[in-house]
Amino acid sequence: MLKALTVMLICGTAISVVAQSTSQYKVGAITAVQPHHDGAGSEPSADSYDVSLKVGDTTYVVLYTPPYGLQTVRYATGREFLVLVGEKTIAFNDSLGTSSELLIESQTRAETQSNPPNEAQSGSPTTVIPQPQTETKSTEIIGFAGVKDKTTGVLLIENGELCFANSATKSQIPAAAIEDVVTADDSQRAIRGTLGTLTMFAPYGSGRVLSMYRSKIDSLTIQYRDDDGGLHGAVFTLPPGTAETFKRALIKQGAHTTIPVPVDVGVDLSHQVMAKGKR
Amino acid sequence: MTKFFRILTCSCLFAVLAGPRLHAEGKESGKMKASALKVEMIQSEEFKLPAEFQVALYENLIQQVGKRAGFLHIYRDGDRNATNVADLVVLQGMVRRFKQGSEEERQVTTVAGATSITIHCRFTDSRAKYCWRRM
Repeated sequence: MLKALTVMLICGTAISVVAQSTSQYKVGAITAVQPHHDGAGSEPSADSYDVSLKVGDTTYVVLYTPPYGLQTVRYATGREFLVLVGEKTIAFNDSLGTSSELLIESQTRAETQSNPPNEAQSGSPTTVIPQPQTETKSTEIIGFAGVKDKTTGVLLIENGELCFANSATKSQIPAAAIEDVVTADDSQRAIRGTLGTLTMFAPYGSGRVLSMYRSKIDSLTIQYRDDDGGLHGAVFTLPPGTAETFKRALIKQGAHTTIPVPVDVGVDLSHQVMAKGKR
Repeated sequence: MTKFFRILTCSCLFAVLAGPRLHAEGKESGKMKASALKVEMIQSEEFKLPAEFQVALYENLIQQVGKRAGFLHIYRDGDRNATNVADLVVLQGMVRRFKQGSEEERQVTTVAGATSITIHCRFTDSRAKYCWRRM
């Protein structure tokens, strides 16, 4: 009886594993990105891209249309993320957790594909440099040049520039022009010290209760100068917990800050300056 | 949060909008003719003002002055073009009192917990002479 039960358990486990293997997420790597051509001899589209995605030993070419007209996908070669390969589509979750499905245009065995798609039409291979990028949903509260107040869009770092984009506008400033980048947590630490953290240790779980009332948004404040030396400021709200990461990415791109980030995050601290000037 | 930024700037805006009128009624001199205004960053020496408040006050002030005040040019802090302007008035804002609001209070009571800021506004001309100042 015991042997029979063991055999049944083993068989059941094996069957469940086999049954789930077709719907498992796998690691996919972007190997090439080309502007999409609608037909032979047509002009390449600026809105859509043919993205070659290597999953296992198969390379899929999928059609990708970035939101808000962003072109960051051109620099995505080398990036890896989890994908779910279907019959006609490939599903993936972007950095914001939004699930998307891309139409599979073609698929080849990875060993047999020698050229990326459309290379013959374009004449020369596209030089793509892997570049780290950070983007997050954001609302511009006030101050960013060229953007109306209280505009919702995407805040990203692209080619060393801080960009804010939505379906209507796109505005950017060089990260190196940013004199100060401060998060809401930085401000609280500068004013209250570590008291905010200590409330977590309040008795009888009251610290946890207090945390229910804490802010459901994060903020990022920057100060930068225009070509004439005029001082600008801009305030963005971000999803909770993302402002610190964004600040680190900005500092890596050359932005300055008066409130240094912790040393253990591996950021080049040469751009950080201590409080100076009027602050 | 934007509601509070709006509330916080009210005192400063009032000062800016009422400034030229009040100055004309002043005892020190007659009407001042200024074609340009330079807005300096809000300062806070006695109190540590959160950066988001400081920047929001500064930007909102520039926006409101540009919309309503009758200056030909509005210059920002540090703008090099402002150095050669003869009839330039400089607006300086100094935070004298800052009471940070409480999100907990706002969520629980809906009427308490607002942030309040008292700003000392000072208009000076090119000779660094006080034109008008008010809390």
